[in-house]
Amino acid sequence: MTSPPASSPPDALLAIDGLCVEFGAPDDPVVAVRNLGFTIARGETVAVVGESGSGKSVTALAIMRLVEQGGGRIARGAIRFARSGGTIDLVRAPAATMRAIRGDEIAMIFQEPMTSLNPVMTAGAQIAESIALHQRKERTAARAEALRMLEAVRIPDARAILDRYPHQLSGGMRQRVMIAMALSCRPVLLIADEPTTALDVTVQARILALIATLVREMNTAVLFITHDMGVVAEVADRVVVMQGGRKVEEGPVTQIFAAPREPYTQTLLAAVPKLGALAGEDVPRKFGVEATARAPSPPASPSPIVLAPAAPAREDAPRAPILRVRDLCTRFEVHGGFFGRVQRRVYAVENVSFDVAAGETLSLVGESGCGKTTTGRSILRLVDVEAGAIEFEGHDLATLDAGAMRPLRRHLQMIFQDPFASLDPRVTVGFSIAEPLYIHGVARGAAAEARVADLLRRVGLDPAHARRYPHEFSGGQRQRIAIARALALEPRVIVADEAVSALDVSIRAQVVDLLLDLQHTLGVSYVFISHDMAIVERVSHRVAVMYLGQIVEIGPRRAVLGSPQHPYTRQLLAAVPVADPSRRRAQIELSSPDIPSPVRGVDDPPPSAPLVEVGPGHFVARHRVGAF
Amino acid sequence: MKFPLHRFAAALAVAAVAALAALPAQAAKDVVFAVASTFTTTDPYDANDTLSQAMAKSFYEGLYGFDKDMKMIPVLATSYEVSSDGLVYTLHLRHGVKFHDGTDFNAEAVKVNLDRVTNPDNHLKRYGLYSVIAKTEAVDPYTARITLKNPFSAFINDLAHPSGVMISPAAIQKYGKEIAFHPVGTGPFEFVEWKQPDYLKVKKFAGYWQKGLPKIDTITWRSVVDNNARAAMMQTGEAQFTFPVPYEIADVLKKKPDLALVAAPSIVIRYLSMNTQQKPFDNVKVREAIAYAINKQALAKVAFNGYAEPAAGVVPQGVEYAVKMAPWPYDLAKAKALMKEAGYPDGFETELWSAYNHTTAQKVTQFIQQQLQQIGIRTRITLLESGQRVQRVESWQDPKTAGVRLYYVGWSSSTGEADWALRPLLYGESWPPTLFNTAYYKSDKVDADIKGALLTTDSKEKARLYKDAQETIWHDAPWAPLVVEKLLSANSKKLTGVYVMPDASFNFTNADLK
Amino acid sequence: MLQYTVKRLFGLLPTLFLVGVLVFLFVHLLPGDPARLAAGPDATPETVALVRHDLGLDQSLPRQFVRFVTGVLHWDFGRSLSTKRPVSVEIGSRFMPTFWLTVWSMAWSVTLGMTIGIVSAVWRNRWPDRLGMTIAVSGISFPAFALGMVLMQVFAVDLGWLPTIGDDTWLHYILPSLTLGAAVAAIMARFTRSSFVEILGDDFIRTARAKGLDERQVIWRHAMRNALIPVVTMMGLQFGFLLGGSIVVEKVFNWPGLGRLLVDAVDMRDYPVIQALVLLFSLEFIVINLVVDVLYGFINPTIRYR
Repeated sequence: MTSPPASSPPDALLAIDGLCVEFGAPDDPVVAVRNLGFTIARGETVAVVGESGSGKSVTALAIMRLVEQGGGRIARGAIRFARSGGTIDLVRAPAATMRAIRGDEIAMIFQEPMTSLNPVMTAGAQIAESIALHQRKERTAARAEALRMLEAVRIPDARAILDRYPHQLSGGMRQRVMIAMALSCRPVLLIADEPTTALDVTVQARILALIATLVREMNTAVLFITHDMGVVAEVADRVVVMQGGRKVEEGPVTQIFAAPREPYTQTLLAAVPKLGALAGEDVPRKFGVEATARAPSPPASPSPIVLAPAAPAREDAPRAPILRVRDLCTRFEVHGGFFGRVQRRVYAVENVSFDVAAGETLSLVGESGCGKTTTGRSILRLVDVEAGAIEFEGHDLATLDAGAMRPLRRHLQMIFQDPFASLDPRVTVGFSIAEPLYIHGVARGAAAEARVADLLRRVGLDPAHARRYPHEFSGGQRQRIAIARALALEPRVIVADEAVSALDVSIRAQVVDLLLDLQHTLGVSYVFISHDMAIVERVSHRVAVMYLGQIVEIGPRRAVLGSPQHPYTRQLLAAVPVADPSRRRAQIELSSPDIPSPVRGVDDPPPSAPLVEVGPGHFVARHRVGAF
Repeated sequence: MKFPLHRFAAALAVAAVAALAALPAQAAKDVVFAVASTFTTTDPYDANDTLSQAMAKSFYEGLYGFDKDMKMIPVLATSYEVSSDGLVYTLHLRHGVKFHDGTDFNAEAVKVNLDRVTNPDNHLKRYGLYSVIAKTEAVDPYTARITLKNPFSAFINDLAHPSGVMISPAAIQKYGKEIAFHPVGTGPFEFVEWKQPDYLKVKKFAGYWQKGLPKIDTITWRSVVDNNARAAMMQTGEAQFTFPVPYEIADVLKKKPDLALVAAPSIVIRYLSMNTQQKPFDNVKVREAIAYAINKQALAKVAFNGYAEPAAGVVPQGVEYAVKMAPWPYDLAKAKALMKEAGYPDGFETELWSAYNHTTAQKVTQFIQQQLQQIGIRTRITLLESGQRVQRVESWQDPKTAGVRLYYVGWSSSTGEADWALRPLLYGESWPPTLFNTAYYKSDKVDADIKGALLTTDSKEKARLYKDAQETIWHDAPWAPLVVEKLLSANSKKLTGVYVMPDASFNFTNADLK
Repeated sequence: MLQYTVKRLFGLLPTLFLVGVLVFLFVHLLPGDPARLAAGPDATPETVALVRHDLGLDQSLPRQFVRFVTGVLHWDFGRSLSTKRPVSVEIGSRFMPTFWLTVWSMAWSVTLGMTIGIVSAVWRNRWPDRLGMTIAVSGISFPAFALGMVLMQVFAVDLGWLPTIGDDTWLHYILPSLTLGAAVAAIMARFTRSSFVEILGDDFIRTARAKGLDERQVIWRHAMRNALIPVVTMMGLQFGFLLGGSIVVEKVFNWPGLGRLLVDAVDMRDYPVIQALVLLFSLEFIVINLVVDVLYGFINPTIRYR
């Protein structure tokens, strides 16, 4: 046996040493991981944290030796893995040995639970496959074991889930199935690659707690890969910070959070929106100084944004609402049966009412399926409204036909979650930005070009970028372009649907700051739709919490987040990971179900009642909504 | 399911071995004739295509017929007399002939058959050919008397026409309209089965009246549309006789030592008709110029691979009363001079239509186009598909508006005499849509000749009238006569006694296989 | 699923009716007088009139249409204008040869095409892939009639291993089905390859490998069924294409099938036959689509029919 590297303790389960992973042609490789080294001890949870492109996922795949299937190769280094028979170097292990290790001794959970499960195999079959493979069990025995695993991951009615297909399960359930599959052979090392990123916060909290519980029971070591410092604080014993394929810093979790040595680590930590950071303040505040000043620009960062002074507390905030939504209902019909009759109805938005004042940000928060996106789309009439009124500048948008709606659209704009999907890849970004100007006949020719240049400058991009195509930009830059396009017509209201959710933390901070700057200078109102409570705290004047299509609590941000009155609001807030390892949550209910479905009978709308005022402008639902 | 699945699977496994075993086993006297199109019917009275009628000669015979050189011969009749007014024909019938079903052939059978075709309620396609018959009587068992509505000197030729066959009266009685699926005649072969569209099979009729015939046991008539496939069948020995052989394949078959390629003379004339009612073709000089401008010899070589001869007259040799003339000479200088005289020194533009859209027609029209270019006539070629042809030419109602100008077409006189070679094409009352006078030619002299010839029973007088008509036509040049085709067939050298007749029908009564 | 199938079967009635109307109109708009064509080149006007009356073509168009529709409702498609046999008999005698030819062509071409596609996808950008795709491209670009003639020349004429034409024994099926299936095999190969390449890049394939499954199991158990989903659709389309589109091959090999019947019928303006054939082809297409959809449901659990 080769002697373990000096830095690793002798009882290391896995020791990575001098690992280099390359992609592309051998003579002109793209290096994804450079000279990486760290160790994982038995039963230890090590978090590898970094932004996209930092090489953290590639590292995970390199350990599994699956990086080769993705077109990469391990150029140098060793990955020593302590097996029962002695330590072997996974980099040089024969394929048969690797297959024996994979799924049995080292298992993996992936980020996307939908795409990571085979859509045409039942959950039970997929779990049983691992068991049958590594433990050489018969079909029935493997199935029984699979059922036991499903129970172990706290799936209610596990026997029924065995025969379900992935698409019939919610995101949380799918990830539980993934976990059951990964842990079915009781691996000594579990690699979890962003296992909760795609999930809602309450589900995330449960899944994290579940992983923690199970690995403790099985004494499994965990390599936890994430970009979310909140999650790191929640789960890790030790932390490895990666940037651009290199290890930047390594240390025990408390040390990393309390006294980060490296500037990059400090940036990461600063960029994490901490819920409660604005407790006691009424108005939004930019990340501004705290994020950008302390840190050097991350590699993918665009040109620095113009820093306006943080918005002053505006006591004279205008009270007159620019947008009034009253009793908005949007329902979708589920057709079926022999004659395609309506059989079920999705009560996506039920009796939702709120005002948005000029220059104000109202956040709609809630988890998947709560109706927040549909509400945003209803305001812009991108979906048909069933009932209710949407008053904007003296018009009721809910009743306007498409022709009458068109001139008003220039005052109402939308920014979507995925900036890549919302920009036409075949036209220049300049054209994308100028298109609304042409459509509404606002400007053309040189005037339009000048406007595009001005808009690009305003969102912190080079006007020369107008001639480029979307794929030439990073995610953050594309979102800036999308914002520039939304701003082109100087709208009064922008509906931002998860506009920053897909961005890395440091980029996210910059985009949020940009939005706040623009609000300050242009007086635009935002309807900010997000599941991320910390971001919501940053940007909102007021917050509306949605659950099963209804607003269960609405009021000033400080009141709603500071003293939540509705039980769902409280659960939502409690589930937000706190980027502070010293404040780990107490035990949480592992098996509580995900959000119930808003699909009901045709003439069976969910009960709804006027909200009750509990403080100045702070209203709460007192009637029963779903489980609450 | 007619095709056993399990057998396919099992057989695939032993494909190589079985392939050898499955080679067509050549029984001594089984013959396969590969022909170019699907049979439409076995009832010659209801057939409009030469092929179906030719095939029907397997089991049917007429009162008269043609030998392999298109000479009329008595078959089921032995002789006839005609009354001096040309209206009453008395036919003496052959004794001792039986139909396949055992029924005797006699005058009653003749009456049944002719009554059947002359009854318009039977909707038979050959009704027109026999509509001249007023009545048919059986004088005694072997003497039939036919009375015509008006004198028609070509009547015996009508009886010799391949459609004029004798069907068993018992079978007509039994099958009625379905007789086409159960043919019963006096011919050398009996009907076995007709598997549409694949093949029709006949077997030797033991009771055939010509003793010692037929010499072969069965004939399988296979309809094989694709030229290449027919050629392939000849090469593999799957067929012993094929007609027609396309020119492009002729050379391939010619080289095969066990195959014989036969180019038989035909009565198929190809010509370019010119619409004499329309300018500039109303000017005989223009028509002559065109006839001079086309090199017929070269055309036969280019388009027909040499399997054709320049047309020597209006009616091809082989047709009764045809007059042989020297082919219209190729004389470009004369053509140019005529154009100038006619007032078209720089030529003109016109349409050139073809009645067919096959390759040969394409070559012919392109050749003509290029030839006419030399005297300044610029043509636009249109190859008419059969439906278009009917619509634009044959069914066109008003001669004044007819779009046809130069029209490449062909004709074969199926009755083998001059009347059917001239009357449908050049008679003044035969303009479309009545018949096929696509030149819209009308000459009082020719009309009188044709009418007169039909009325006279005197053969010499007939010959004189037809000669006069043909010479007049040649002089008036409503057509530029092009070529007379040769009929290309191929047969295995083992097969003898199978001939392609000048009307593209077949003679195989004496067929034998070595 | 059963309810869905029944529903779809009823749903195709209006489609067929519409096709029927269109085809009737279209066929009657074709240039050329079928009575004249049927009567033959040297028929007199009286004969043509006789034939026209016999074929019922002297009636007004609406009346002919009513007669056509009433007939179809009674499963009577009339008689062929050229052979005078009932259209149902004409089609019936030629349906099976075309059907079996199509089935066998489909069977070998799908098997071979998918094999080439899978091999190419698994060893993509290596020599098996290049070889497979070269074969596929040649298969697509080689016209069927030329392929048929070459095959006949080589295997029937020169080597004498196989018969040239006809459908009498299983040996007769080999050359035509090879000719007919070549393009399909090529299309299937390319389609399977791209479908497989896409699936092999999917996350769940990574999951399967992370379980420790070997490459063979990953491909057969995890990739295959997923990759089949689009392939089955393609297969259905190709099957329909083959059923209707074997015209060229049927001519080259003198196959007594529907393709030749259609060509003959169009040539002779045989209205009843054309109408019935087009209706049949439409029906085939619809049924194949239905079968594909149902098959789809079995392969892909995310689809539930209602």
